[in-house]
Amino acid sequence: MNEIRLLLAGNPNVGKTTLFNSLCGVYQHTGNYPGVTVDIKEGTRKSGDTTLTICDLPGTYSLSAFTPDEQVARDALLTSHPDVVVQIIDSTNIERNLFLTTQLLEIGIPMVIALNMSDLAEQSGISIDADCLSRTIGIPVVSIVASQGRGIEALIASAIAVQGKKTGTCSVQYSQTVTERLTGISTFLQEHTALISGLTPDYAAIRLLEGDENLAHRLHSEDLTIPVIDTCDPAEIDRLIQEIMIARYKTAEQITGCAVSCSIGRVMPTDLLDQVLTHPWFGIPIFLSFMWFAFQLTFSASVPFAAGLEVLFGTMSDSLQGLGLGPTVTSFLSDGVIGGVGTVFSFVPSIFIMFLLLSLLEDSGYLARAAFVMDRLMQSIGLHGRSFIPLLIGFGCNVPAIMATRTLQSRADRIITIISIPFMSCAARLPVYVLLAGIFFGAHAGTVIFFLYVLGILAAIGTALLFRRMVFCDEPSPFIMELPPYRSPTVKAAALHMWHRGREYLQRAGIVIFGGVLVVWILATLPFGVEYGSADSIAGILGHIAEPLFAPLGFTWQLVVGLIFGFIAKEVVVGSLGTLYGGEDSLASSLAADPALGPATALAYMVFVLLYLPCVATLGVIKQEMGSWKWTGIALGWGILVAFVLAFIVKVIGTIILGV
Amino acid sequence: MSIHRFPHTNLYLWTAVIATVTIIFGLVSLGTGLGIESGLPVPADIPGGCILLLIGAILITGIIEGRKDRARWVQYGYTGLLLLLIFGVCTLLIAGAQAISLMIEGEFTDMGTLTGSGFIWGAILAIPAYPGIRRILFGCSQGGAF
Repeated sequence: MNEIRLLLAGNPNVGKTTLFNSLCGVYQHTGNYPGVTVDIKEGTRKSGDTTLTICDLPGTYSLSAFTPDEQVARDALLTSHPDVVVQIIDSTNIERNLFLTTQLLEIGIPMVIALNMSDLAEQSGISIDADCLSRTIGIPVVSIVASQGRGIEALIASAIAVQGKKTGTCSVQYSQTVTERLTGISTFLQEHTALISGLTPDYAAIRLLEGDENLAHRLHSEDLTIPVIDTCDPAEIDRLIQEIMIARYKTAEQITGCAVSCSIGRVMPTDLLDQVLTHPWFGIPIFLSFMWFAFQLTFSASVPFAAGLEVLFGTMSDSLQGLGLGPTVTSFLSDGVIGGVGTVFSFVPSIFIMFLLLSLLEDSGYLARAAFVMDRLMQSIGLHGRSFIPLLIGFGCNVPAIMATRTLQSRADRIITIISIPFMSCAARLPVYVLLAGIFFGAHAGTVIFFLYVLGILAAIGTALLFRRMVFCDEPSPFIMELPPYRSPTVKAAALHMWHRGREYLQRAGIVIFGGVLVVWILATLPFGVEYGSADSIAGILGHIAEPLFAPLGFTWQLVVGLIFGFIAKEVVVGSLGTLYGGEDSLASSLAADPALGPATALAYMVFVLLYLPCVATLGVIKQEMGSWKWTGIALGWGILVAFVLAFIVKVIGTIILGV
Repeated sequence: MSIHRFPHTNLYLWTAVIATVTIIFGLVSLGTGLGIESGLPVPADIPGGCILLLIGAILITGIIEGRKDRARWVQYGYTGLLLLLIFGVCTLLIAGAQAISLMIEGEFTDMGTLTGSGFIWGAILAIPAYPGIRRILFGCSQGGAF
């Protein structure tokens, strides 16, 4: 049995993860924007008697890594000693992708090029002679369309065929000065090969000249003086680095010139649409319009499903009463399982619909434009425009959103973005809004939900502004982002995205929510003998202890218990309310009938749920990514403070306008 | 294909009609939402009215700039019509879902909000214009007048 370790490398947003999914028959989330993959994903595929272990690397434009995700890709390419590297190239932008090719060729690993999106290139009038390209570079070149699985078999066959062979006859022609300097370093490294991690001395010399600090540190720790690096003026080294880059671009241009031809003066519909959709005046209002419709549709379309599920759970709860299971078991199943978990499940349709709409926007390429149009606003308030991608991911779940900040280069930008992300309303908070907005705002529920999401964005932006001005008094780094072409989103792909994201939610619902609701039910039942969910139960006592803290906001003790257990996961908020308000009426009827609750209190509660503590999982990832308890504590405390202040303002203004 | 030639004038004028209708519906929706009675059967919808005004502004920009450079009309016109169609479909889905909810609850379903919606009328008017303007856009982008 032959085993091959294959790395998928390439620029961001060229379709690496789509190819990975096609090769391994698995599902990893893909997106029509850069930065979706921030760590290495591994899968396997069998082809004849060969087993391929395939690793999907984060996208990188070069091996001179600047951001944490690029460093992951670079380290895998340089130190993990793969058998074959497959570089995925966007056929519509081949010259820029070939810059990375020139670097990969120098490493000396067997390599294959996969020309992805060859169909789009054809439509754009770009003609690529793959054979000519292959002959020029000296490595196999295979045209593929990863999204349709076209060319995959030929790609695998090429990858298996090049294993163990030397590929790449094309080399970058450096100037005489650069060549002399590289030779000097390379000759020195030949005597110290044990310190260059399996790299060839020639390539290690290039790495050193390009400023590979790890390699230089390893040599310096042995008290070695590296020729050129330690002996030349830094200005001269900068000049040499510039010459190396120019030589690489020139090589990429030469390769493109002989293998690629394209119709001159052709303008793509994408460019034409972008002039309107990213317009300085129209861009942001168009984005807000899409968001408003998305939330209107999410709320309206989910109501019939939720009503159906509510009827189903109500019937199940009623039928339990007649089974004679005993009061404790009946209470557990009726109030705990059906009242808690069932209530949360009633809101699953709204979450699925929101994921579907976000997937449609994402697959079309529009979300990348949203980041672009927000950049102008965000730069002016001190947040990196690229931060908007993690913030947008935060609409789904804050955990991957925080991990996506690895695409940011500056530590200040990362910290500011991480602190801002928990304000982005994740899917788990949606059930709270759908429940309360539906009860207290009727026909305007969709608009209320839309404004809550906008409030979340504004809180994130305000946080960024404050931290940039008060804590990190520097300018945000410039934002360069490649806008992907618009693609017609397919219902199948969007439905698949929706299903996988929704399934994750359901899995959480099955484990975390059930556990949380179980705890709430036990606390609402104990001590034995008290009325279930009454003020005398442990849950009631807990709620009453914390209630004075929330008195300015007008929250009842049941709402307070919901907030406390919402720290486990935000879905538990509705589950807790379902358990504590459990009775003969539905949760909606019980909440509507509570005299202490009115539109103003409900709105303040929704604002508090939107902004307060992130869930345990998010907090864990914040600690992991920040690497600091201090910043994790600041993120936690800041969220509570902002939530309390804004909820109070909403309560006061709301009471004046709406009453209780 | 050159976009400067006849018969695009008809499409150009039709875009102006759509822009006018969209702006009127936007103003009435907004006004009704703010409590100003218009006597027209247009539902009160402040955010929806703002979005209609936005689309109207996009189409008007295309019409004004298109007087000197027809290519600008194609860009703005295509985007405006596309937005009208997308939001029209969304409005239809929202109204359909609301009607089903009301039926489940056994309440009377009033389709007046649907027939009075600017998004629905805008989308209906955009349907005949969209294929033509799309053809011009894609024709231009294949090495045409741009």
